[in-house]
Amino acid sequence: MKWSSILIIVFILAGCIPKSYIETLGIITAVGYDLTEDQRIRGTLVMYQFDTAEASTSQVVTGEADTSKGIRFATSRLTSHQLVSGQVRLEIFESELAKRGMMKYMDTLQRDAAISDMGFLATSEVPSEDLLKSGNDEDRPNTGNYIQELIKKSINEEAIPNAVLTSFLHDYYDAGKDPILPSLTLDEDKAVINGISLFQDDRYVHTTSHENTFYIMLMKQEFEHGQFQIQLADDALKKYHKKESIDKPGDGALHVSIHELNTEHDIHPSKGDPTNQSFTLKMEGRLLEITQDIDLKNKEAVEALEKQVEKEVKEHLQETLQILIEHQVDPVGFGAKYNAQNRTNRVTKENWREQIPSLQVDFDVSFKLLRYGISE
Amino acid sequence: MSLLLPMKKEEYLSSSKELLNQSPDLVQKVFNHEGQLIIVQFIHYQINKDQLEDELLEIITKSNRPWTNEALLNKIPIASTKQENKMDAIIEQMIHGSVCIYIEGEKEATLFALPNQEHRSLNQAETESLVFGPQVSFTESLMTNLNVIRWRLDTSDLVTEKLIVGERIKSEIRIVYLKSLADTENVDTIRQRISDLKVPEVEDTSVLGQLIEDSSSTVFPQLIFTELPDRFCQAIVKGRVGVMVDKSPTMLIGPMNLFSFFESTEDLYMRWNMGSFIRLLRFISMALSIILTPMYVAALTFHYEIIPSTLLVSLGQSRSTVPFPPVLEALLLEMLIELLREAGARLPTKVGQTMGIVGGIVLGQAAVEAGFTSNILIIIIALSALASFTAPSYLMGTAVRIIRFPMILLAGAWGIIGIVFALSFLVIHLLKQKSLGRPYLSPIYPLQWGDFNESIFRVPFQKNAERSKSLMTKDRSRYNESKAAERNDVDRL
Amino acid sequence: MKTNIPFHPDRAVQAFYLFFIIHTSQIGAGLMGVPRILVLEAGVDAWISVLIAGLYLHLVVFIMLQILKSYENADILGIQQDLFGVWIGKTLGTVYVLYIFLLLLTVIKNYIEVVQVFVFPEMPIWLMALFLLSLMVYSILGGFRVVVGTSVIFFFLTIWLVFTIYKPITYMDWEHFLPVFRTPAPDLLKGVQQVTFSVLGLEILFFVYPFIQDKKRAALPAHAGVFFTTFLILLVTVVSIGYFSPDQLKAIVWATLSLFKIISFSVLERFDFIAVALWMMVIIPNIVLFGWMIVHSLKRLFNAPKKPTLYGLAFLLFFTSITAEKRVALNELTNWTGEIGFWIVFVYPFLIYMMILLKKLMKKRNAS
Repeated sequence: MKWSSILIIVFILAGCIPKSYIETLGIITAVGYDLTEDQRIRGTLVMYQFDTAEASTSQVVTGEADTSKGIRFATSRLTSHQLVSGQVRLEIFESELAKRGMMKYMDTLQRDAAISDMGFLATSEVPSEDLLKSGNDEDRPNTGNYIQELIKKSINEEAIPNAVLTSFLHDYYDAGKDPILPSLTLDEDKAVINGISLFQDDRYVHTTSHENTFYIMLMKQEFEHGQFQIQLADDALKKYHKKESIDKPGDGALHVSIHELNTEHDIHPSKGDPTNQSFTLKMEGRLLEITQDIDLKNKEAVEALEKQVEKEVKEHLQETLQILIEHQVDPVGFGAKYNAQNRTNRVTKENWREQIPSLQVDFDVSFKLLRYGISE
Repeated sequence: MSLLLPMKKEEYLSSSKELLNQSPDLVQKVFNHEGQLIIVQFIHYQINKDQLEDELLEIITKSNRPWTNEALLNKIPIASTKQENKMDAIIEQMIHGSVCIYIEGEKEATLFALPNQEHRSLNQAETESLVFGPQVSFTESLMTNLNVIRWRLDTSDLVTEKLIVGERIKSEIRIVYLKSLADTENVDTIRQRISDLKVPEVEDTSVLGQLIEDSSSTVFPQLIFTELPDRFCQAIVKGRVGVMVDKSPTMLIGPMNLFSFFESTEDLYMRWNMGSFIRLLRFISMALSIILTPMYVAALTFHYEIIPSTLLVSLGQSRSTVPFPPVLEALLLEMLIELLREAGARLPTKVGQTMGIVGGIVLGQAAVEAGFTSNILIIIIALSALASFTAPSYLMGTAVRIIRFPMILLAGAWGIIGIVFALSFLVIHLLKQKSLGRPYLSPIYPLQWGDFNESIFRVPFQKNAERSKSLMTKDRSRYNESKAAERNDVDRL
Repeated sequence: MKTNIPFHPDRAVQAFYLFFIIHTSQIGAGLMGVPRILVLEAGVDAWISVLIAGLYLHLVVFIMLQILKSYENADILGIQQDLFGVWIGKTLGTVYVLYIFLLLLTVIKNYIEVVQVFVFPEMPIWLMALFLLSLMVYSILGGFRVVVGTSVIFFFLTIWLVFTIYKPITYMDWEHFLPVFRTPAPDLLKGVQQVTFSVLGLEILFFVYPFIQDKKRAALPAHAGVFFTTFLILLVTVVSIGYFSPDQLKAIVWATLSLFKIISFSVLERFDFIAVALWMMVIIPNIVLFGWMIVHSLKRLFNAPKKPTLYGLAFLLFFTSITAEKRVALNELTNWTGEIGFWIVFVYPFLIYMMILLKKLMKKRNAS
C-alpha cells in the first residue's frame, strides 16, 4: 500500500503533460488568407484572448509567411498568448489566392486533428484582411463571428449551398464534381455575401451573381423551405386580370415571389455519353407576392402562372448552365452522376474538364403552386 | 471456577456483593418466612418496582406455607423465569434486569425477569427523510424494534434468530428473514460471519456492518443501514436478510447491489411512473455529480476545443481573473462545499441552516467577486453537490462525493484521458465488489434483464409478478400475473 | 496437462455471455481504421467484402464449435495436445500465446498512437501503457468472472457510440456506391482478408469454451456475436464510403474516428475528443480478455503461477510498447500480426477439424 501510493505520486509528477489553460491561449476563431505583392501569403487571425484588465476579448493580428502554419508562427510573435487553432470556425481565402488552388493551403486543415471539420470556408473579392478588420455593427464579439453567423444563417435559409470544410473536401475529391463556396465582399464597410464562387477542382475561377446562385443550387441540391423571386413577361397573364381591378391588365412588371419552395430533381445521363444528360425538376411552393392583380380563384390562371414559372425557370437554368460551361466547372456533379450509372467510358478528374464545354442538358421543369396566402 | 449453590445466607450475600464489585445499587432483602430465609436480590434501577411489589413480594409474603423453588415457579404470575445454580450467571441475569429469589439451602436460585429499560418511544425518522409514506423510525430498544417488525410482518414465517456477540461486552443480535423466501446461503453467510466475530464489543449496527462486509478497502458501502421500519420490512419481504443489534436504532440489510442504494421506499408509494422517473433522476444525478467538475477541469486545462463557441467567451472572461489553475480552483470549491456540509451537520439544526446560507451565498458570491473562482464553476460545483445529496443512502452519497476528488486530480493531470481512465477503473472496481458474496453490480452483471423491473426502473406492481432473480429467493413468483390482472368491476367490458 | 478441464460451476458463466466475449474481443483497435484499409483493397465495393467476410466468420465459428463439441470440456490447448502429442501440442500452444501477445501489443500501441494524434500529442507512451496495463492487471486479478463482466459492462458503456453515426449518415452520398460490382473478385477477396485482420480475437472461443455452463446453447450467442461484429464493420464501412470521397478515404488513417469529427452537441462542441477517449473503454475488454487468455494458457501449458505470470506479462508489455515509437514500425507490427492471425484464426481451425474427423475415422476402422 505504501509503495503503491508513492509510485502513484511519482507517476503524477513524471507524467504531467503541458497544460494549455484557456486564459493563456489565443484562440483563433477565424482566419483570412491573402496574396501579397511579393507572392507570399498574408494571414489575418481573429482570436479570443482573455486578459484580466482588457474589456475586449477579441483581437485581430496579421502576419506573412509561406504556409498557413507559418503564419501562426509569424503572428505568435505579436501576442503573449499561445495561438491555437482548435476553435477555427471560418477560413476566408482571397480570390486572388484561391486562383492558385486552395488545397496546398488547406493541407493543415485536413491533417491537424485539432481543427474541426465543421468550420466554414469562403472566398473573398476584397483582401480578407479588410474583411476581418471591417466594422461589425451587430452585437457580435468580432467580425469573424459575425461572418460565420451570416454564412450559417444563409445556409439554413437555403440561400447558399453548404460551405463546411467537409462538404468542400468531399466535392473536391469526387471525380466529376467541383466544389463551390460562398463569396464575400465589402459593402460600405460591412461584410456581405455577394454570390458563390465556382472552382475548377480547388482553383477559383468565377463568382456568380445572386440569381445564378439560386439556379445552381436548384440543380445541385433539393430545397425544403427555400424561396425565390422570378420576373415573368409583363403581359403573360393578361387574360386573367381581375375585372374589378383599378390597374390596367398587363401594366407594370410581373414579379412573382415563391416561398416554402420544395424541390425534387433527377439527373439522367444518357448511356455511354457523359456530355448528354437530362434533368427533371419538380418544384412546389407557396405564392407570397405577385405584383399584378391576377384572379387566382380561376384555375386556369393558376395553371397559366405555373406554366410561365416553369418556362422562366427553364430558361434561367439553361443560362446558368452556359455560365458553368463557359468556365468549365461542374458544381452540380453531372460527371459524378454519369459515373454512378455507367461502367464504361467513365469520367475522371482530368478528362471531364475537357468534356464540360460539350455538355448538353435537357431541362424538364414542373411547378406546382400549393397555396396563395390568405387573400385571393 | 464459578461459585455454585447451595450456600449459606451470609456467604451468598457476600459473594453476590463481591461479584458485583461492591456495587451500591444491589438491593438485598432477607425475609424470614415461616422459618425459611428467603433472599430477594435485584439492582434497583434495572427492574420494574411496581411489578416487583405487586406480583412478587406481595405473593411471597402473604403466603402462609413454606416456599420451594417449584412453588415459586407455579404460584408467581411472571412468565419469564429461570433457575440457575451458578453465581456469575445469576449476577449476569440481574444485570439484565432480573430479580433473584434464593431460598436458603436450595440448590438453585429462581430468577424473574422484570426488566425496566429506559428508552425513547417511536419517533419520526431524522436521517432518512421521506416526503410521503410512514415516518416512524426504529428506536434503540431491540424489543421495541422487534415489536414493530412483528407488527408489520405478522407471519409465522418470520425468523428472528438470536446471536450473542462480544467477548467483553455482550450484545444481542438478531438475524431477521422470511424462512420460505430468503436464500439459505445468504442467511448462512451472515450467520457465519457474525458468529465468527472475535471482537470485544459491538458498538453499533454500522460497526457490525463494517465488521462483516466483504471488502473494507472500498469506499462503497456494501450493506444498507436504515432506521426506517418500512424500508427494513420491504427488504425482508423481497427476500433479503436483516440484522438488528440491541441498543442501536439502525438496522442492516443485505445482500445489496449498487442500484439498491438508490432505491427509496418512496418509489413504491408513488405512482410507478413518478417512481421510475425519480429513480432515473437519481442515477443521472450521480453520474453528473461524478463527471461535471472533472469535465470542467479537463476542458479548461487541456481541451479548449470542446467548449461550445457561445460559452467560450463567458468562460474565458470569468477564468481570466482567477489566479489558480482550474484543478486547484475546483478542489478549493469542492473543499468549501464539504466544509459547509460538515459544519452544518455538526451544528444544531437552527445554526446549521444559517451556516448553509452564509456559506453558500455569501462565500460563493464573495469568491467570484474577489476573482477567486469563475462563476460557472460555482454553478457546476453547486449542481454536483446537490446531485450527490439525492442518494437515499447517506453512505452512498458520501462515497460519490469522495470519488470526485481523485477524478478532479486525474482530470487536472491528464484531461479527458484521465477521466476515462478513472471511470474505467471505477467500473472494474465495482465489478470486483461483492455484497455477502453476491455480485455488487447485478443485475447488469451478471445480466438479469428481469431484475431491471425492480432495481433500475420501478414498473407497475401489476407487471412485477416475479421476484428479483439475483436475490435467489426460494419462491420466484410473487403472484399469478394473469389472475392479478383480472378485474371484477361492474362496468368492465 | 489434461485435455479436458474439470468443470467448476462457480467459475463458469452462462452461454449468452459468449456474445459479449466474442464481440468485445473482436471489436477494438481494428474498427478504428478498417474502412480505409478495405477501400484501399476493394474500392467502393468494400461492403461486399465485409459481407463475404461475415459469412466466412460464421463458417469459422461453426467449425470451431464442431471441434469443441467433439471433446467433453476441452480448450484448444488440450485439443492440440490430444491430436499432436505433448511436445508438438505445447509448442503449438506457445505459438498461440506468442500470437496473442503480439495482438495485445498491437491493440495497445494502436490506441496510444490514436490518442497522440487526436487528443494529446504530448502524451507519454509509457504513461498510456501504464494506464491500460494497470486496468488489465486490476481486472484479471478478479478472476474469470470479472474478466467476463468487464467485457459485458464496457460493451454497454460504449455501444451507444453507434447511434452518433446518424450525423455522418445525413452527409452521405449514395452515388459513391454506384455502380456496384466494379471491383474485380481478387481484390474483393483481398478486402475479405483485410476484414479478417481487424476482427481477430475470435479465437477466444477456443479458450473460454470450457467455462461455459450450458454448452448446448453456446452456438446462438457465438454466432450472434460474430454477426454483430460484422454488422458494425459493415456500418462504419458503408458510412465512411458514403461520407468521404473514395480518394479522400484512402488518405484518412482512422476513418471511423474521423466520422466523429462532425458531431457536436450544444454543450459539447467537438465530440471526437470524447469519442477517442471513450475508445479506451472499447479496447479495455480486448486487453483484458487477451491478457486473461495468455495467463490462463501459460497456467495450462507450463503450470505457471497466475499472479507472477500476470505481473510478468504486464511488465513485458510495458517495455515492448514503449520501444519502437514510429508509426511505420507500428504499421509493420499490425500487418505482421494480422498475417499471423489470419492463418491461426481463420485457416488453422479447418486443419484441426480435419484431423479430428480423421481420428474418428481411424477409430471406427480400428473398432470394426
